[in-house]
Amino acid sequence: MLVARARRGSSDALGELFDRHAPAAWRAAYAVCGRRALADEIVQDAFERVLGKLTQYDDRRAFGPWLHRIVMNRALDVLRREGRYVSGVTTAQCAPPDEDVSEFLGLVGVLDPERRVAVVMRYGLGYAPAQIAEILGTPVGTVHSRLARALEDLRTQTEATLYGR
Amino acid sequence: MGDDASDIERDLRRGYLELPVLEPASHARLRQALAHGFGTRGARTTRRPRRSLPIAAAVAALGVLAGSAFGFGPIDAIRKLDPHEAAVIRNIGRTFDQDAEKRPGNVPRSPRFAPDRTSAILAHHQQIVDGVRWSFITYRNADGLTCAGVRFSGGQGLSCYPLRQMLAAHPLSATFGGRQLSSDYYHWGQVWIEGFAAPSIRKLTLRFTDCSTASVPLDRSGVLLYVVDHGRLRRLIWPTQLRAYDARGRLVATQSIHIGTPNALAPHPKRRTCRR
Repeated sequence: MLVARARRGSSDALGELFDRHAPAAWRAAYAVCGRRALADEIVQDAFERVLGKLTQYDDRRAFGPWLHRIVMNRALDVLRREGRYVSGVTTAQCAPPDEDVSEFLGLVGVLDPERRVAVVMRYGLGYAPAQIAEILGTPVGTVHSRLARALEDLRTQTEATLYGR
Repeated sequence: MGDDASDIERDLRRGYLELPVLEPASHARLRQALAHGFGTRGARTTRRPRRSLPIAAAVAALGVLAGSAFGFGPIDAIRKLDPHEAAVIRNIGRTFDQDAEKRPGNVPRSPRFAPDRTSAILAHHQQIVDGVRWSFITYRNADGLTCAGVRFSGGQGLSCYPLRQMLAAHPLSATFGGRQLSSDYYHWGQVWIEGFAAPSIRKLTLRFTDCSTASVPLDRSGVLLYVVDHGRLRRLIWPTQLRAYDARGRLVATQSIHIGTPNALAPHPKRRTCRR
């Protein structure tokens, strides 16, 4: 197993873990923070943490969700550090996206970061709400609530956009 | 409602797949940066030199090359305006100036809006609000004034200021604007707070009529832009006060924002007394 080999100190195995998981982790980080440079930083930090905690890693659990937990938490940390996130307040300015704004970033850019994380995990990474709850260490009801409110926010946003045309 | 949610969910799934993936060059760079960690045996905490440092240096260098209209420090999250849009701004400036030249001599002159040849046109705080792209542009005119204004799909505002003198007199120089939507004449479509803060200001918040607050993005050049979305304005939550804090977290300046209704029949929010 790749992780087991990595724990035994195989640099090839660590490199392969990175190659296999970094692209998806990067896309998820980019989806949350909307900026390539921040996504780079988040992924690098996440893998540093992975390297630092490999001995604590439980082999019975999948590597991807563990990495995604670190990436998502790191993305929230970065958004807070960047001063774009005020707890409990939905701000449109949470993450001014890169210039090549995609449809996805245009949609989720208005969401509170925690709702954005839930949306990315559900509709991007494809986790079920119960899995998201387990990965993030959050009650499943909270995940359902974040997803429902995110969809409500997005519906309101879509209406507003239509009115503006 | 269920159908709407399904459409949105479908859009989210499709939109996510259209996001870029980690580019090969970045992949290789990140792999290289982690290479010393890959070479370690077992687990250890690997704190590498922060990648943000070269990024910050590169961004700062870009700012110097771009010829920032003002120089409070390294430029952060500021981009040169897209060449096509920059040409539009230069054209707008020239048109304003040509119109001004045609006016009789006793009519007060407006500032010269055309950008100076040596000044780059910079876009700050680019963002999408209500599906519309917003930014705040700055440049320097031939008289050395800082010209600036909010730019969004379908609109552009411009003013020119002696910025340093203004900020020496008061650490906040902010203004606001409103935009209506074609199908809702009774609420503002979006309201934006734009302007500048002195270098001593490190954090800005915006207080609303319901006493909620939001963090206002402030970049290293002292430029601020906050766009209030239509959803909030429809709920009659209007911005009322911009609050500025120094590096020690002390409130050092405030600026009141007095927004009127978009028309005489439009509802006005009830003001609450907020705790300080």
